[in-house]
Amino acid sequence: MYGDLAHKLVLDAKRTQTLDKLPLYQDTLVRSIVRETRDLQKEADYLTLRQQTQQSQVGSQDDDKVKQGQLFVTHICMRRNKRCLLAYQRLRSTRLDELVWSNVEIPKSQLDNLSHNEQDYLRKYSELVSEFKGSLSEIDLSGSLEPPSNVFIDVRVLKDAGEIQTEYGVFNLTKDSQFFVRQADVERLIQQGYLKKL
Amino acid sequence: MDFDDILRDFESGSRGSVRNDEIERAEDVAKLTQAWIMERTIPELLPYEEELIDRLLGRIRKQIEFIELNSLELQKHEKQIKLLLVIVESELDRVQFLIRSYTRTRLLKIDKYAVHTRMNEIHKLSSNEITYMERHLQLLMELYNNQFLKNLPEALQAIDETAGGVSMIDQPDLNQPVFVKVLNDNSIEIDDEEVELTKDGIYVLRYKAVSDLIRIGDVIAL
Repeated sequence: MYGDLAHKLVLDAKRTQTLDKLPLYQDTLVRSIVRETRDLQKEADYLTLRQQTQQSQVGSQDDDKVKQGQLFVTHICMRRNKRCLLAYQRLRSTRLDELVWSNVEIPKSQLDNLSHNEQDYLRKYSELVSEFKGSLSEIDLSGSLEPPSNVFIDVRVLKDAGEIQTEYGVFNLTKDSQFFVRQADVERLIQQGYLKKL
Repeated sequence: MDFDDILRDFESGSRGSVRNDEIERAEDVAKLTQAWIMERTIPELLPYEEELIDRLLGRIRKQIEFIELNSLELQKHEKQIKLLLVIVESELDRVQFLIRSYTRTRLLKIDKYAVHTRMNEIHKLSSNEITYMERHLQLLMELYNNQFLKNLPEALQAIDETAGGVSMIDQPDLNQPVFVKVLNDNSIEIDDEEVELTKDGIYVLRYKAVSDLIRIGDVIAL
């Protein structure tokens, strides 16, 4: 049935919403939907042509109505396919945007799930975001969106991160150690999962 | 008027301006907080508070400088300066957080309703935001086109279609309820029914019904 494939795609999008990671890009499915839509367009063209030639002849009115209905449904199917494709891609691109803003390094396993164009998009969007951040350099735009409570916080080191330099001295971040540091200095390390706020 | 009077006048004058300056600073932070709250609770994008943000950014720069200068001399007179530094820093953190959250919320709305914003609300954006929006839209179009759009029949390639009774353009839901506080007595009409808004009252209303009052400042969103 027309629309079945698009339905599958939307289901995949729905599943994606609950996952932490984007699943593999459905390349074949997208291609099949595009092909189906093109077939539908051909059919629509054919039906319109038939209608035009038949108008000059005297045909039965019932037959005419059936044809009109068929044409209408064809057009609707095409539009639905398009909307499903866009919804799928929009969800994925929004998730990519979030990835860029979250300030973490994107793991290889995630990159592998993206299509070539999506990887391209990701790279260009990162550039755009860093440009925008540069225009507002007084504020670290990708910092925490939690309201700050204290300037200094206790953190525990979850993964070895080597030495960091702050205005208050050098810290050697070895696993399982605990520090009292300025939050602004370690914000990035918290986002990347090296440190945990206590 | 003798010399002392002139001096006194001068002193009080300058002290007055210092106080005014302080009041202005405190007011600016309050204004920013209000702008941030509104931006987060109201469904549509609000005009960018350019002057306010610029003033605050200038002060942030000064404070950062102050902190850097003083933490260099930390060893010398440690005790007096340390407390001061912590206070300045926490204030700085808070203001930075407000601006960060304000900007990010705006970007979120701009991204979500990009096509709509571009057509109808471009005057509400700062020049940076306009550049960002245009380039992001361009990147998205590139992505959609390369992924599938260019392979679809020509009639279906537009991204801002409104044909067939279904608009493809996402718009903010102006019927969304908002919490508001009334600053001046007013009355509005909702579905042919008159609603009295009394001063200092708190109401939950459809955003559309109070959007004009919010714009002129008779009502603030919470």
